[in-house]
Amino acid sequence: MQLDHDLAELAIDAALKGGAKFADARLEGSVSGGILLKNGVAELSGSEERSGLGIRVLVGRTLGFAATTSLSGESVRKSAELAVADAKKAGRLRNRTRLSAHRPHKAKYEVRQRIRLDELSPKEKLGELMQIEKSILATRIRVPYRYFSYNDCIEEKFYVNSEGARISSVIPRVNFHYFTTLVQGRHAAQRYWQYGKASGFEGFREFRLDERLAEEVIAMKRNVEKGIQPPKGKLDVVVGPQITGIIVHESCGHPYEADRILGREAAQAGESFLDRGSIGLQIGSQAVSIIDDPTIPNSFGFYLYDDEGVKACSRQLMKAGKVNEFLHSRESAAEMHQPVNAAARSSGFDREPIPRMANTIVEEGDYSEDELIAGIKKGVYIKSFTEWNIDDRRVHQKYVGAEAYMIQGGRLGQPVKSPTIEISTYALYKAIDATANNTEYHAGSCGKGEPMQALPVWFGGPSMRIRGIQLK
Amino acid sequence: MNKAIDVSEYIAKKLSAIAQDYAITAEQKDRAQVKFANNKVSITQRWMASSISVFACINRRTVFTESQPDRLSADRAVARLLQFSKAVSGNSEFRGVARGPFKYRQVRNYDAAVESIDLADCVRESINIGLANGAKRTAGLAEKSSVSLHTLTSGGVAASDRMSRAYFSMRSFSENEGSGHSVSVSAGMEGFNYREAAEESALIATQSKMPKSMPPGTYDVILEHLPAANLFEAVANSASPFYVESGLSFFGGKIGKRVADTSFSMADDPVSDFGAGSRKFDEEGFPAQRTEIIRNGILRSYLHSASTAARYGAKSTGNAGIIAPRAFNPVIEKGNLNKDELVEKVKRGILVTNTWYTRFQNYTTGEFSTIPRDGTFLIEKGRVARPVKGVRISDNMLDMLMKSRHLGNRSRQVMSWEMETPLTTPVILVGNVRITRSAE
Repeated sequence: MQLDHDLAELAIDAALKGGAKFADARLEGSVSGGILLKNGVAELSGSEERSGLGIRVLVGRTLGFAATTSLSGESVRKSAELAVADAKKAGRLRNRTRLSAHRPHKAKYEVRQRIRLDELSPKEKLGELMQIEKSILATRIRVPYRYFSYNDCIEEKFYVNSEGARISSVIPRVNFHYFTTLVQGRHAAQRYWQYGKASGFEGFREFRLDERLAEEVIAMKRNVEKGIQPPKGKLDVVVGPQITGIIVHESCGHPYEADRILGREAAQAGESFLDRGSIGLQIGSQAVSIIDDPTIPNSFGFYLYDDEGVKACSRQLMKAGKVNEFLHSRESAAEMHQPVNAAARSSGFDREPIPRMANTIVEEGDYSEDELIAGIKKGVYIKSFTEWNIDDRRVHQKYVGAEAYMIQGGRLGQPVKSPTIEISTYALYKAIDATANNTEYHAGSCGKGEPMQALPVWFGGPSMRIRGIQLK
Repeated sequence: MNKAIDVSEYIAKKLSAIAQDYAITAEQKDRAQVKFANNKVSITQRWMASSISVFACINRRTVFTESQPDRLSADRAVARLLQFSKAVSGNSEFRGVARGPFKYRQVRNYDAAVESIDLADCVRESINIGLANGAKRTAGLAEKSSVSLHTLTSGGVAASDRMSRAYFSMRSFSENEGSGHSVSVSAGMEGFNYREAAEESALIATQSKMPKSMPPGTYDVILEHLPAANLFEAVANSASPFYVESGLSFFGGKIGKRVADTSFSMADDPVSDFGAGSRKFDEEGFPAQRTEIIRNGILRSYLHSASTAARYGAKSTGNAGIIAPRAFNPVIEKGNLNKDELVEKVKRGILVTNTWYTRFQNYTTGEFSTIPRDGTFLIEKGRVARPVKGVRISDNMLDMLMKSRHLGNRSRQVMSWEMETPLTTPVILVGNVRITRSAE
């Protein structure tokens, strides 16, 4: 897709002429494709091209934003003028937005695709999905509902701001999510998960979905047929990397987003149990350190410059159990007088950039997963989960186990049905006493902002041992 | 919009030579928003978007694409459709788009006055109302939008519609953990009352100060409009045959069976005046109509497109999504008790004014949990006793429907951050709900 960079420059000029003291624009074009396979039938397939421009302005101390899908000079100029006019009008409320100072960058980068998404035929992509279907059917286990959704996208972006930043990028992504529902007599079990990478189609093949989903179906059957109720009373739990990932995404990544801490998302995605003075606060045990790093090659949340043109870096959110760093946009960094760390992301040209996670990962320890389990006389190992949620200050969370087993004398035993962790963030992070060395990365679409912005992220890390908690 | 219609006709001409079925919708959407937090404007936002979405069935392959309103983009879009139709396997379940042409009834879903709303003034006034009613901090947004669309199909449809929507959402915070949330949404100025919503959010915030923990257990739960809509949106979604066949519905195999208390009735009513989801026709141009989903506790109908209706031996209910039918403007029928009378019926329960983060353990069986947020109040012996916090509703959606025994006599249309479809609902009393809480 050819983007006319002059349009972005034109938008900046129009905004400055209209009275903005700062402006940035994102000109974006994408080609995406998708296949929806339902119970073996290709229900809907296709591809689309999207393009447009978003212009953000700071007028006085009020932010304005406008987006258009019409890439004519006239439409772009009009968008810039409207963004300025709206911000001027809203300026009557004596707003106080500032952006932190930042040295502008000029850069160009592209994620390499070994198997180009736009050159591989849809027939071959469908063939790979049918292979997953076949592998599930080959288990001869009754899985009457099989919902597979495959999407890929090549996104080209040009960022420009009135301070001189000029960043071009091309990022391809593959994304797959599914629901499988097993029915066994009067019992049913359901699994959902997502896989995603910033890569060509080779990334999809690396997921080995035909093997994984068949193994998962076999484990579901075992759990439905032989699973026992979770034991009562306090016990030790080992959670696998998938659950480690969702835990840190929900109760570390989100509450460290500075706009939540400042109340800017209060009516939507909520606030945080942390405040601006929480840096240094001991939340967890010494065993827990967590980073958020957009620069992990081929990660689902990959970028080298954020949507404000700030150079990406790894953020150390939690260090040995202590709050170490928040996720900042230029706006939140200015408000908190803290360094900006390139966390401003938007889901497209038609959304404002706000502080977001990229890839939130627990750092590895020295143990193997087997060693974590060997250290438990009686407990439960939870490999995967189904239902989960957390309150909007990120304190009260719940994870319902899907594939889970008893631990007896340091070894895995019988399957356990729906062991449920329902615990506060404070209690949970303090109870983690060890992490393993088996890091996995899991993909998700993280929701925030209004209008909603679903963003690709990874979350993960190694298995973790949690001492003395109550399962439900 | 004229250019988009011209390009739609251009695409239709091309597709008529190669596709057995097609449906093309040109859409022009203008939307503006003022978002606020901490009693200040966070950002003003405005969107101007035009697009043409294209569905086609070519040699039994069901394919889609999107085009910009220019012929070059249209040519590429048709080429992509052809490419995909040659590559993927046939969809044996697709039975064609609706055959028209149709006559449409007039629906009051556009009000020019919405486009004249001064969003900045609306926000300024609402913040002041919140502060005057005891709020210390307010956050939310005011938004207006208008959509023009034109649909062309191989079934002889050439029809236009125009919709508007005004939406306001405000969350207020008082000291000592008090918070309240309220919304207002409508297709027109009638039914759009941002002042009332601002005042309500502040009043809930002041009433919910200093909430205390409460023990888990089984409680009667009164769901105010906002949480009732948030939760029961899943009921409307479950009525789509696409969701049923995907394992994402708890209504599989339940047509004609009891799924709710006899006092519970729900319909999709996209032809109601000023419904925020009201429209003249669905995505294949079939006339929109009121469809009863649940009547007195019995599941009466799924929501159908022409294709799913043909497979189920039913008639289209005008709810295409061609592949995935959906509710447009669901309505839960109101009952005959006012809110005080509902509270009086509760010996031991909680009043929930908002909820969020509803997630299912298994869509086919209906186990779920959701987290009440903002003002939540313990009810003892028919009276609201005190604010509480830290609770979670962990129950089953089918059981919740069966336990929805009493409904309020005042309905409100609700939309919120987590809802995709606006829903009109009364306050609902659900008996014997499982309440859990986190270990501290």
